[in-house]
Amino acid sequence: MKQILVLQNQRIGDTLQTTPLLCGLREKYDPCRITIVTNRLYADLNLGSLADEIINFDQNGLCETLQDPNLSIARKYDYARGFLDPLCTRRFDLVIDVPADTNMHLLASALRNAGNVRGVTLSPGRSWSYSHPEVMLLYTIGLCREVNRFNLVDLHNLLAGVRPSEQKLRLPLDQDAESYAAGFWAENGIDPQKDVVVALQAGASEERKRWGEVNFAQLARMLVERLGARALLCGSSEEQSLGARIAREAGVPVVSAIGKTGISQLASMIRGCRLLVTNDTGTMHIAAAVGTPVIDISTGPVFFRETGPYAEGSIVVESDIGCSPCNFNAVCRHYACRESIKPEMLLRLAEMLLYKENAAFLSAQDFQGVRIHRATFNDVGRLDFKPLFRYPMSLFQFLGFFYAHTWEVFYGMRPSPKTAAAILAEIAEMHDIEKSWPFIFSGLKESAQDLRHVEEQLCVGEKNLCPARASVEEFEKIYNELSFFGATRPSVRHFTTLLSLALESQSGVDPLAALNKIRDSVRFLARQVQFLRRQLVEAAQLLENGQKKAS
Amino acid sequence: MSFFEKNLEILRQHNAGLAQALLASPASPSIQVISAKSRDLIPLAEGRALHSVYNPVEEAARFVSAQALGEARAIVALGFGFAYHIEELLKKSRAPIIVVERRLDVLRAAMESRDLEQILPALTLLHSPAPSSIVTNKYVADALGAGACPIVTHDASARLDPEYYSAVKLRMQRGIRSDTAKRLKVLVVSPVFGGSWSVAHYCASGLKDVGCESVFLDMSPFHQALKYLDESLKNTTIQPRMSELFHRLLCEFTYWKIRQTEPDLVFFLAQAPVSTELLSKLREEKIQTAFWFVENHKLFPYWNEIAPLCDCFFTIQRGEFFSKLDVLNAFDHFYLPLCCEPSAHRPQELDAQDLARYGSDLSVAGFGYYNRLHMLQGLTDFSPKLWGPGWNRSSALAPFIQDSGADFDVETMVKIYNASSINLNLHSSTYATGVEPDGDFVNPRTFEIAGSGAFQLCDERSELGELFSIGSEIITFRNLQGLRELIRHYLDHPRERKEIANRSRQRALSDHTYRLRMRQMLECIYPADLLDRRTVRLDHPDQVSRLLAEMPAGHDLQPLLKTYQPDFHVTISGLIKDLAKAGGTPAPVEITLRWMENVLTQGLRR
Repeated sequence: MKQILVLQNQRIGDTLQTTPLLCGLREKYDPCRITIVTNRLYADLNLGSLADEIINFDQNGLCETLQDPNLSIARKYDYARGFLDPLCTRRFDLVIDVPADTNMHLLASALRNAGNVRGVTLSPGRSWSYSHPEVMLLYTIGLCREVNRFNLVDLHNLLAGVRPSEQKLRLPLDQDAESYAAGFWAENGIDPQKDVVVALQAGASEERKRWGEVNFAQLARMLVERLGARALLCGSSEEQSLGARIAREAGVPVVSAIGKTGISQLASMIRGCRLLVTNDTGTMHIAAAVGTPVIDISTGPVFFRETGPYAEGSIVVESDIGCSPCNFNAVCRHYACRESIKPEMLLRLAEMLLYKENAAFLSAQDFQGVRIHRATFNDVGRLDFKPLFRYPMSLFQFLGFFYAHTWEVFYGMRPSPKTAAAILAEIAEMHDIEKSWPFIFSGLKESAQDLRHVEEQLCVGEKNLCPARASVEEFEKIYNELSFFGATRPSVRHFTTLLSLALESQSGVDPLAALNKIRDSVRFLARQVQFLRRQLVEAAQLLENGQKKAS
Repeated sequence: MSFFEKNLEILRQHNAGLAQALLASPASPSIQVISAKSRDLIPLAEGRALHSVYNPVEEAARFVSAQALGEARAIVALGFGFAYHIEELLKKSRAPIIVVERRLDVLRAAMESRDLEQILPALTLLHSPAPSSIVTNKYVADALGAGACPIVTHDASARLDPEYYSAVKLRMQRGIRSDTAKRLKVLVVSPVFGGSWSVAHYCASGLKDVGCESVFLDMSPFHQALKYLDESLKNTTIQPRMSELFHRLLCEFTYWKIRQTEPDLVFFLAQAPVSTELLSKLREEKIQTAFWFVENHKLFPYWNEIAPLCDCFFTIQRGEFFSKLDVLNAFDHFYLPLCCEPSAHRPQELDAQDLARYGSDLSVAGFGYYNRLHMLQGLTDFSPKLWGPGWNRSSALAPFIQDSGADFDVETMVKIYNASSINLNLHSSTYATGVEPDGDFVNPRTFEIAGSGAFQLCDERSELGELFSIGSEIITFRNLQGLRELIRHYLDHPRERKEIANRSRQRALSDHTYRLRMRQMLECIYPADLLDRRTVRLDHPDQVSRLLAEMPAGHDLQPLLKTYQPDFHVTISGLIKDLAKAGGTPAPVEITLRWMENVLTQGLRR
């Protein structure tokens, strides 16, 4: 029986986003035994039916021990080995190191009897080694968000090399949690079958990700007064004062479950709700997992295409100001994205999800300053967010369609490529290309030229890479030039970043020994670049012809 | 017997140094003694009366009764004057009284004019002490710890030197403020580049070793940017402006890092990015600062601006430099000589390849300064190896320059020291053609060679004798001729070389390590008991000898720990660094340590 180990030490949302992967592994390798390492903080997350064994990593306990000034390094070392040893000596045929946590990368590196590791490990040069092209793809996404349309769940599946038959998050509910939820409803005079309960999650892991308590309070009031709904506040015990302020500001009866539930209990309660309005949070993924419709308010650095709710029909609202989404490390002084999303807009969207069949009754005029997207799975089963109205688009949004298509083709999701014309038709369905034309045209040609340069350099590099140390050194010169080139041109940055990860993976390895791997990576990249460039050139030609005809 | 003789006799029993100083000081014309209406004598300093011209005793009684002494465990009185208020204080309180007087001439006048027999034995009289030393006074430290140390300022005395007295007051208030249960947090600010960068780095690790929470603000990542700026704007009119802007940026960055870190003390190293604006801002925000000026004050005059704004200013020179600092009202200045870092500067067994590369009879590792260029011309018959930049390639020294004058790292430097029979340590000079005639401070190389267990010949320095025993632990020369003789002698006597080098290393390890220096530095700033409370104990659990003693045979860490000196304190990051040097696929021990380090870096998760 195949022994599989899955490493996932991130937060609730990330762990839930790993659940399709677990199902995919089971389907692909059955019979198999799946062991998952997760953070002890989320032991409450009931993954029992998805894995055969759950190992809770008590990171906080280890951290406290390591911080103890009275314990020697030797004692601390022994404590750490106490966790590692039982795991490291076991045999695993396949290890999936789900991103992105250095603790798990190191754990993967420490396994002595691991067969195939799909993930990141420590290289002989003491940098990171990315095991497969799919792993590298995932790690470039955060650096090249401008052109990304892939959701993390799909990227996780790619990383693990699986295609789950069902595209959904899983969160098995237990009887205790269900009983707790029933008791809670009864205690608060709510009948989830009859009442329209709308859950609100106003907290988030950081300030920039929060829509704001006043907005949530106004929305709660409108939900109660205009839609006759019952508002339920969700959150952790640390958010109790936030909940109290919202309840006070709302001025209508709201029910608060903040700090009263564990993860399973919260999941049971969310399942009883008709809708969740939320910031980008673990609660959002819980709702997606239990099938409750979601409106996700995407502010600050949240990039919904990556982390948005993985469930058909979910709605995402984002501001259309230029700085959104902001850089991970940006310090915001205005929170303008938060201001442009009005409670009235959320009310209209809630009304649509609760009472209407479709979005036909909505008007773009009511949503000035924001963009609304709806989650849907495309023809190859990848989650995509399509705009509710035909907005104009930026160059990078335009490029994003072609990048996504390239990845689908090259990472085995799409058996035969679409034509550029077909992609353009798809884009035209969603966006107003006419209005976007001035933003796209010149940039598109430049991007194609930049891609040509990258392609040429890669081809030269690949041809000259031969089993001689000098040739590898020569290639490094090409890499340095490309790396600078990519840093200044976002349209090709993805490829130059991929190249840097491919080279980093071989750090500390003798260049001659690593030659074949480097050459394979370069060849693979060059093919992708060439494919993308040709499609862009063709698309530019088609668009130009269309413009000429129109004029 | 006059009052002066009588008072001095009593004072001599308690404070002989002060008594001697008073005896040696001439009577000052700026102090005039007059009779108040009550017939008590009072002084006029620069024409101003220091006590009431009507009745100084009554005035003192009123003054003291207005003070909130409470349950004082010690009282610090600022200003002695003619001590009428001190007499009143002694009547009112049994607490020990520490009196600070800035002016020696005032003290002399008081001793000459009044019978102080009753009060002198009952108090601790300090003349112009460094403000921080008040805080480290045993009684004051105890009282500060208990929050019961009132400060009584004699305003008329304080007006004679307000900057000084307010500095004392500020330090005392800080002494009270910093008395918390938290570990002492020190932020070490490095320069962007240069020799004092590694000093900063060692200081940070030394502070950690003495039990502080040490945070190293590494400014070296800005080096590339600075180089680029300088190179691309070379000889342009905009260059000075851009350099100034860049310096301001670094200062602002430093300020924000300080705000972010919230340290108890900011410790700047020479050439670290500081400005008067930055230091003033820190002073306003009551953030304590110290500066270690590890360079020659005659060559780098920027101390003029910054020393008065630092709470404590540490130097490697004293004498004339201290007088200059006094003039600037930079009261808290201390002599803190350089030292070595045993984990870096240590004896090394070199393989044949390293010995061939770095070995020589005579070597100089350092910049080719003016005097070195001159002196080495007279030593070419010894075929010296000259390491580092700045050596004149078009001179007779050209054949001896190594690696085309490239700079070298610490590891290479230590290899050079270990591989050379004789390390020539000639302190730099920009004007002398050989040994600097009035050279005082001792350079870091002296300690580093000693720590490395290598042999050196060092030029004469006035401070050297206090740090190493000359002739036994270190050999010095005065001129080229003497140096040539010494070289010939010690090349012929390897055993002597070895013995001297061993003694030199023992002295360096016992007296001149960063760990000790940092403790000495902190002791100048904080009372000893406060330091003990706010640092972890010195017998660290991660001392190699302790670790080896407590671990079972065959422990994973044992082979690695055996490569360190027994008194060395290991850290997780240090172990990782040393393990990584081996290269190849990372071993389980290294991965585990990296994992531990990573968990610590991430901290607790919520």
